[in-house]
Amino acid sequence: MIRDISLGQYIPGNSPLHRADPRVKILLTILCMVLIFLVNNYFNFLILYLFTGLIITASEIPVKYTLKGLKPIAIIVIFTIVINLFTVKGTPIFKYGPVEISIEGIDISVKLALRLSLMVIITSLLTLTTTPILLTDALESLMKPLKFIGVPVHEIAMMMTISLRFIPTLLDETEKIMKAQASRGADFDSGNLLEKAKSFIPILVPLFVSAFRRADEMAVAMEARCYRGSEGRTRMKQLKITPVDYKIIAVTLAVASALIYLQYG
Amino acid sequence: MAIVVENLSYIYLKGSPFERKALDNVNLVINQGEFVGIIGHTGSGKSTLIQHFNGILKPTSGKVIVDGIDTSNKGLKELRKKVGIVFQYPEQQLFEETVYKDIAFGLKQLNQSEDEIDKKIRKVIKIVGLDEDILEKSPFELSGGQKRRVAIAGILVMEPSILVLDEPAAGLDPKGRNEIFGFLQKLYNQTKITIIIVSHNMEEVAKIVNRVIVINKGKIAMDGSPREVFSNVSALENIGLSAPQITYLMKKLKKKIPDLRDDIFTVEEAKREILRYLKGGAHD
Repeated sequence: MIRDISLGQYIPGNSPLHRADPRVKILLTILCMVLIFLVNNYFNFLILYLFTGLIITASEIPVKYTLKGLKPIAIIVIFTIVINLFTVKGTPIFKYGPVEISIEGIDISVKLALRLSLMVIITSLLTLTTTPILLTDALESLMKPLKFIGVPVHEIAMMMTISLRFIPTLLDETEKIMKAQASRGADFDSGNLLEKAKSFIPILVPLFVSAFRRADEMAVAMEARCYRGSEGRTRMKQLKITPVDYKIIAVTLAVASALIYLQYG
Repeated sequence: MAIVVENLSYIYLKGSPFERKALDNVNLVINQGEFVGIIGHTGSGKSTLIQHFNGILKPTSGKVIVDGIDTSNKGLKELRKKVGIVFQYPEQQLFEETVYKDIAFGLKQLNQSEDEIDKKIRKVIKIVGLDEDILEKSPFELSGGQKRRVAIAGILVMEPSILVLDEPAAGLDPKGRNEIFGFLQKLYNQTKITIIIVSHNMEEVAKIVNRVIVINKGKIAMDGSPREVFSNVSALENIGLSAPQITYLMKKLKKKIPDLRDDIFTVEEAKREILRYLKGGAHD
């Protein structure tokens, strides 16, 4: 049932992209985002897409999974295309009553769709090749400078780690409780909206009870192991920049400079 | 009312990198009135198997037919009434304000009258060995063993003709365990409904069931009376299980005293056999 949702979406592997430092991956993903918005002609888009194809190949992840992220945003993409198509004024090529489609409108909508899709593909590549834990570690490391202005960076990262850690656990739990209540004759699918909402009480109450219990146990376990927040805390697994990272950085920077030259040179 | 399992296979997360085969071509018939123990390692597929009995899981391939109803069909409310499954740690599914309301939950879903519900609840609370004054308490203030029995009562009250329990005694102290197995035994003797227990505990299984099914890596490894299954100690050990401790004791004793029987798997039986030997009696 619920298990079929692939949350977190990490797919284990040992490709260069899996082995790369997560901080490098995050920063390069941001660079790619910037590039997506700098690029403004179709030839450069082609280069960007080819480059993304290269990354997908290097990540050794089935293309199916990288494209899966597009499904939920399809509606947004279509919506923005339609809006742009009909509202952007310019040289008209199609006219029917008040409805008018211009060349500029088509141009902008196509580019928007290209941009949105690329953004989703690249960011999902980041989560597909990085475990959630590594991702939060990297964020903590990247946000370190914010500590000096009083942002509790470590605590935020720890909270993210714990919540990510518990998503699958709670999903499992929900599934278990749903099965148990279904065995008692609970029906989650029929009835009107109010009845449907009510039918979730037998799931939510036990779920909350167990979530609170887990949180409590976790807090005790952490304190029993002397967890006292970030003060004086060291890491067993240090994030390290390795030769793989230099290669990835070099390739991405090369592509980036080429694109910027092509666009503005 | 029988459970017929034909060439059942079940694959978790089919078509993803996390795909895992939990059941592999299982064939099985469980007849009305049997008391079955299903034993197997963690991850052997025993929990997956029982979830097919009331259509909570649908076969990836193969068929499960319960009392003539194919579980892959829709409209399983009737089936869920016939087959009651008590999951592991069933006390985690309690949610109502009072024990009474919680036990009534299943019956309310079936739109039974208040009188009927009341009668059934008072009957079932006795079967699981609890007092009536517990009915007005909150389920969250009970002890672990009491909660467990309330949760089981929530299933029993629907009067299923097949009762399936997944590790009904897990996490309970010896007293709680004895109470659970005690009332299951009594329930079986009185009503002759089909009871299926999934368990790790060989001793308890050996004591009460009349058929043991051993599952290993999604396949049925052994199937027979407790005597047949537990006498094959080496086969059990090969798949990481064991015979009841008392069987090992009797095997050791037999080495010293060849006259003793060693195909014994309950303490009660061992007692009788040793006493027989001490009195110098013949085999009975």
